[in-house]
Amino acid sequence: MTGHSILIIDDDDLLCDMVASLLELEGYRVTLAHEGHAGLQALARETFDLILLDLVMPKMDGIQFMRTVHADMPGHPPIVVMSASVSAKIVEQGRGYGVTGMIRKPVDPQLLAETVRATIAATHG
Amino acid sequence: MASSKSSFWQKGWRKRLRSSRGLDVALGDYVTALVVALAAALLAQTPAPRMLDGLFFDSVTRFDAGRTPKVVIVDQTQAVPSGESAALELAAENLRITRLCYRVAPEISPNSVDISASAPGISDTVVAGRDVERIPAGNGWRFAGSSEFPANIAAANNRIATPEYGVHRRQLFGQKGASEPIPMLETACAGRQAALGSYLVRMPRAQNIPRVTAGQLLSGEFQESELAGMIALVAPPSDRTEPYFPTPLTPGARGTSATLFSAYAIQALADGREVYRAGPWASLMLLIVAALSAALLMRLLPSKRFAVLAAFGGLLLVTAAGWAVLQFVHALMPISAMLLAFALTAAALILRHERAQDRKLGQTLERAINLSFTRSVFYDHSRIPDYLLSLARLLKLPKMAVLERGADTLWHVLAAHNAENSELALTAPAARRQLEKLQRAQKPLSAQILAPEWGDTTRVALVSSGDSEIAWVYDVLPGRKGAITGRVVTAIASSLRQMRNWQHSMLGNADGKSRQIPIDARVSSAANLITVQSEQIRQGLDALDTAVLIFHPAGFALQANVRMAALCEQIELPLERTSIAEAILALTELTPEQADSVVERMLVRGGDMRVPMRDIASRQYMLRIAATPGRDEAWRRVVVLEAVDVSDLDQLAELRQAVGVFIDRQLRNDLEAITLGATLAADPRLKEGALNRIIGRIKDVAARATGRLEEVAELLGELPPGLIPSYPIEARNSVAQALERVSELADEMAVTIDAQLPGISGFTIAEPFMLSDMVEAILRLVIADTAQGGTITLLLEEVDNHTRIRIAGGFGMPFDRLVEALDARAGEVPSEFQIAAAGFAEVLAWQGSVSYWSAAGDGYKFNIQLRRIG
Repeated sequence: MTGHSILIIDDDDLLCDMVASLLELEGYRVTLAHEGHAGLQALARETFDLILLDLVMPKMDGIQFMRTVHADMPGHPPIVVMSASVSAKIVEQGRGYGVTGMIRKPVDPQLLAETVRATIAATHG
Repeated sequence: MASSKSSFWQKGWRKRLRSSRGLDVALGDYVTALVVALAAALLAQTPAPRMLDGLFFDSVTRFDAGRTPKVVIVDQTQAVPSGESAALELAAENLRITRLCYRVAPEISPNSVDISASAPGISDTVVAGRDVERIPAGNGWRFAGSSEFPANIAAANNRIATPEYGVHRRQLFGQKGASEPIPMLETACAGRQAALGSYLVRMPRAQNIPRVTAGQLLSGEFQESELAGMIALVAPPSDRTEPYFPTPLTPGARGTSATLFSAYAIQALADGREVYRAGPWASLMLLIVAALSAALLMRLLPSKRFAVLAAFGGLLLVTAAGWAVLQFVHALMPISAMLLAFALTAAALILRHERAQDRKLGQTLERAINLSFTRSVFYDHSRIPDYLLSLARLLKLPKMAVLERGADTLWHVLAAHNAENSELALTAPAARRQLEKLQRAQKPLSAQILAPEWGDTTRVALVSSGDSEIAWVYDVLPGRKGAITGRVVTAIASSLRQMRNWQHSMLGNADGKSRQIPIDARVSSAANLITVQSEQIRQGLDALDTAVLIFHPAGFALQANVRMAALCEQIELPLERTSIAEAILALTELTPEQADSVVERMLVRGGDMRVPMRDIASRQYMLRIAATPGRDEAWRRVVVLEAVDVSDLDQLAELRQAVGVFIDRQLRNDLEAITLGATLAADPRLKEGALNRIIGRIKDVAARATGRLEEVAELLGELPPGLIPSYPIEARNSVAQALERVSELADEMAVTIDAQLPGISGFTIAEPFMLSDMVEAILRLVIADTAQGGTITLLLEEVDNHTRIRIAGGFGMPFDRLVEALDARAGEVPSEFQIAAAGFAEVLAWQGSVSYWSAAGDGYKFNIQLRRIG
């Protein structure tokens, strides 16, 4: 059991559920948010070791979320983008907002587990 | 290299040839002038021109001003006795009269000396006129009668020269004598040298020739100063008959006495104003000058109208020159021959130039014939029945037949449709009369007489006359439909006949009837035929699905079909003043340098290229620029601009791409979820309850994926015809493009656009180009209505099932006026609202909604809500 907590922000509730189940099997505590505003509220309530973020979402999309977190929450947890819309421009934007990893959908479960593990390990030494 | 060199030389030769042709024409004109001059010179020797010249002389000199009298006529009531003539001479001497001339010599005293021996004794102050006679066996003359004559009296020849065509206006200086010329009386009296040759006598009406009687002289009635310096011409005694004859003074009657004529002659000689006729060589030169002047004038003048006027002007000028030479040089030019030479040359050259023009016109006509006739049904008469049979089938004519009049003047059946030849009664007198009427009939005639078994709607029309007469007998169905078909058939028959008439006129040369058909009638026919064909070609261009614009190689527009005219009107491109390069610049995004390069390539090499066009009224076009290739006949080449509407293709491509992206992203998510679920389900750590939940999730995802595919299939299947289709698009991109397009206007107007767009967009159901154009149109409307320094807000937000676009700003207008503008009927929407209004209509078709609000001073608010999926 790692005990690390992860915030998943994705409007696709079915995918969210499965990713959460996978990460829970790996021993992580998982919190779900289905759009950017809900994610910000969760961040305000709890402390997370990692944020898994989708980009295309209604109301507040992933880019707006990153922009807000980067501006308002210094020292925010590392963000790993999980999207089918990964482009060079988004990678560039993400670097500026403290994104530490990118996972292109469809998600390879093994890659997801390794990326999460490596990112948390890098953050917590 | 060799070919270009050869081409250069060919061009050089052509140029020289053209120049030499010009030279040939000029040379031909001058040779014509010389020939005319020679002909006129020969004509001038005939009586008519000389008579006319005489009349010209008479007319001019009759109105001369009178001069100081130098001659006084002395009348004798009876012959001066021999003894008294000395008294008269003494009186004349006392009055200081220069010379005393007896028109007829007084009687000679036996003591007188032979005056012929003292001739030309003009130093003597007394001259006596005597008759002359031919010297026997010689070719000269001598005085007739007694050879005894006083030594102090000079004898002179008192004959008057023969008349010119009935009028005495000429007198001799002298006649050939035995050894030297015998002076004429007038020559001697005027103190002039006797010589051979003649002169014309001026006889002005205004000339004063005083008359006195011998008795007055003898009685001393005159002062010395009154007659001093004058020449006294003593008329024959009144008891002697003096000849009278017609002269310029009395042209119609024998009204002038020989004495008066002599007096005028003496006056003219004494004044030095006798007139000489131009000699043969001088005449020839004058005629050549007149003819060449006419030729020069005709060459310098630009048109026939001016040529005729100038010819008249030239004739007046020649006449004026004749008058001036007569008055100041005292010479009579061959004026009528000169006028004739001038007029003939002018007429000959006008005719020559006309013939040259006719020849050119004829050559042009040949080209016109080739152009129009070879495309015509009449080029091959044998095809006419085939065309008419085909037409009968197309128009569903129940029966028809094509007739031709043979060489035997009888009509024969050439072809028939649904009919036997035996059904037509062409030889019956009534039928023949009806067919004869066709020549004069302007519309089809009833043909029941020709085809008694056919319906009562049977008609016959002449479709070709002239060298080949062809008639068309046809029946149409009864009723309204048949009536309409009948009108169509009538129009076609009339058109064929008219075309045939024109072609018949044009082909005058071909069938050897050019003499009967004047060139202007042939040209008129060609022009009519070409006009009709041009109009038909224009209609053909109008029927094309693409917009076409044809340019002359010089750059101006030759023809545009209605679609191109409409396109150009939309972008305010005036076709009548637009060059090729300007049109390409206006229609495409090419730079001026690129447009010039395209035009240069087309003009020099011809070819074909395609360039993307600017969007016009939300439609996308591809511009095809084409010119026939090849270097020969470059002047005939036209450049064609063809705008092909590719909006549908673009939309289909966009649709294909959008659906692909949508399926890729959404199904990828779903498959990812299924993959993840399967991985989890296979994980041995998963407990049974969790496993069941995961399997349930996998089913849900699979159902969602199937639902999405059905949704896409439904979207693709629901495209209504004629409407712009909608499909999943990234709305952000369309709105961002609109924003970019208005940024320049916003900068110019110093208006800020506060745009809030999502960083990344989901899928919205719309058509990207229409959405973009609509947002742009609304932004332009609001920017134009915003004060300098003002701000407009543009918000794009995506919520669960819909995407909202909000635009607000500007000063605004009353709400009812905005509603009126956007809800107006098609064609009545103000131009600035047209794209927005069209877009709003499309939004409804995309199953979206639009709301707007405005108030003067509070600005505009536009809310567009679209469906969002995924």
